[in-house]
Amino acid sequence: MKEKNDECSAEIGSVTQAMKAQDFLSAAAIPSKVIKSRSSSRHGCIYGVAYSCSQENNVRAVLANARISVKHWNQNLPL
Amino acid sequence: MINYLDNAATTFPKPQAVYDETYRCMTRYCGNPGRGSHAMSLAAAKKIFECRSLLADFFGVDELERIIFTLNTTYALNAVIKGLVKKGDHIIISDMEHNAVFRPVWKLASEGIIEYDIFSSMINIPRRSPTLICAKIASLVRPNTKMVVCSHASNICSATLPLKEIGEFCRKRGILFVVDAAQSAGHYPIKVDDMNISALCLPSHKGLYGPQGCGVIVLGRNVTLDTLIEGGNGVNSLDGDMPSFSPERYEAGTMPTPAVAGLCEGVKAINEIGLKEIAEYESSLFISAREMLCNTPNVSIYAPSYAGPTLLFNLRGISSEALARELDSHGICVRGGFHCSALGHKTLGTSEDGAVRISFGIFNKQSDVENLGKALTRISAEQNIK
Repeated sequence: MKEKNDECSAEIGSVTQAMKAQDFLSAAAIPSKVIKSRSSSRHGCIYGVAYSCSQENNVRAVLANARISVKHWNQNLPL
Repeated sequence: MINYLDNAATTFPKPQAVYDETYRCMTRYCGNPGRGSHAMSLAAAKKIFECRSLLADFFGVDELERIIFTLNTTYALNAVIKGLVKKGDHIIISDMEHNAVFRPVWKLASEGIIEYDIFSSMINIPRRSPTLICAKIASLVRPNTKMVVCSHASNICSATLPLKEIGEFCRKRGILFVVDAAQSAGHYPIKVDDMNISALCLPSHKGLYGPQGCGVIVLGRNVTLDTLIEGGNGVNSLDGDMPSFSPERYEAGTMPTPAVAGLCEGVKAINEIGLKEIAEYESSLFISAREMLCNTPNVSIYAPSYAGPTLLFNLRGISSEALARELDSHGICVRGGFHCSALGHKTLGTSEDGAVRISFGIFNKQSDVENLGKALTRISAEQNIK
C-alpha cells in the first residue's frame, strides 16, 4: 500500500459522470484525474475524480453547482 | 474506377481522420470503457465521453447523458419504440417508413400489444405543406395515441418531413415524437430539444461518416425507456436491476469503441464543412442527375421535385435489380429493389419492381453523374431498349 498523499477524491458513480465532473473541474481550472474507486470491489465499477486536497472546497462547490452527486468524499487516502 | 453512388446505404469513402482515429483506437487505446481502472480502459472511456459531448452539441441537447450508443439505427428504433409503448397504445407512422420502423410496429400490432395507423406524408401532392401534413396526423389521433414515429428524410427519395411542426403538434397533445434520422443526420440540421423530439435515432456510418457498428439514440428531456436488453455495463454490478440513469441504463454489454472513435472524427468533419454547404452540394448533384436522367430516353424519375441526396428512378425494359447489376459492371455502385421500404415504394408507386436508387455524399463529384449517364446510354444500347 502506498503512503498517504495529498490526493483527495470524490466517488461519483459511472465513468460518464466522473468524466463529466472532470470536465467541470477543468473548466474551473482545477486539475483532476478520473480514477476507479476502491469501493468498486464492493459495488461494481465506481469512478470518481482525484484532485489535490488543497482544492477540496473548490471541488465541492464546482460539483454542487454542476449538480453532480458525490457518493463519498475521500481525504488523503492512498490511491 | 468506382463511382460510388450508394451513400444512403453507407457512405464511402470516409474522411481520412475517421480511418486514422479508428485505427489509432484499435491499436493504441481500445480497452473496455467503464470497467477497468487501467489507462487503456480510461482512454477508451474518454473517447466515448468526447463523442457523447460532441453529439449532444450537434443535436442540440444540453445533457450528454441523453446520448446513447447502440449497434445501429434499427436497434435504436427498436429500443425506443418497444421501450416506450404499453399494451393498448396507439402509434402513428408515416407512409414513407423504412422497415426499421415498420417492422417493429407491425410486430407489436400483430401480437395485439398496440394498434397503429399510417399517415400520408403527401409526397405526391403539389400543395404539400407542414400544416397539411400535421392535419393528416391529427385526423388519426385517438385518446390512446402514444407516439408519432416518422423518418425525417426518406431513404428512397429526397422528401423530408417537417420535424419542427410535427414536434410542436405532438407537444401540444402530449404525444411522444420519435424520429428516424438515418437519412438526415449529417445532411440537415436537427435540434432535438428545439424540435420537441422525444427520441432521435441515427447511424454512425451514413451522413455522419463514421464506421459501421454504431447507432445513436438522442433522448428528449425527461424521457425514460424500458430497457430492450439487460446485461453488464460495470455499474451497480451486484444488483439485478439495470441502473436507473442514462446512458448506462441502455448500454448493456461492451461498447463499439472503435466505431465511436471514428464517428467522433466524422462529426468533426461535418462540422468543419457545414450542414448548409453539404445540403447545397448534394442538391446540386441531384439537380445535375435529374437533368441527365430527364434527357435519357425511357427513364422514369420518382418524386423528382425534392432535391437532396437521394434520387429514385427506373429504366423501362429492365428490372431495377438487373439495372443495378449492369451499372455495377460499369463500375457504378447503386442499389436496386425495395431498399427495405415497403411503405415508401407503395407510396411512390414502385412496389411492383422497386427502383434504382442513387444517393450522394460529400465525396461525390459531377463526374460521377456524367459517368452514370454514359453507362445508362451504353446499357440502353446493349439491352436494345428503345
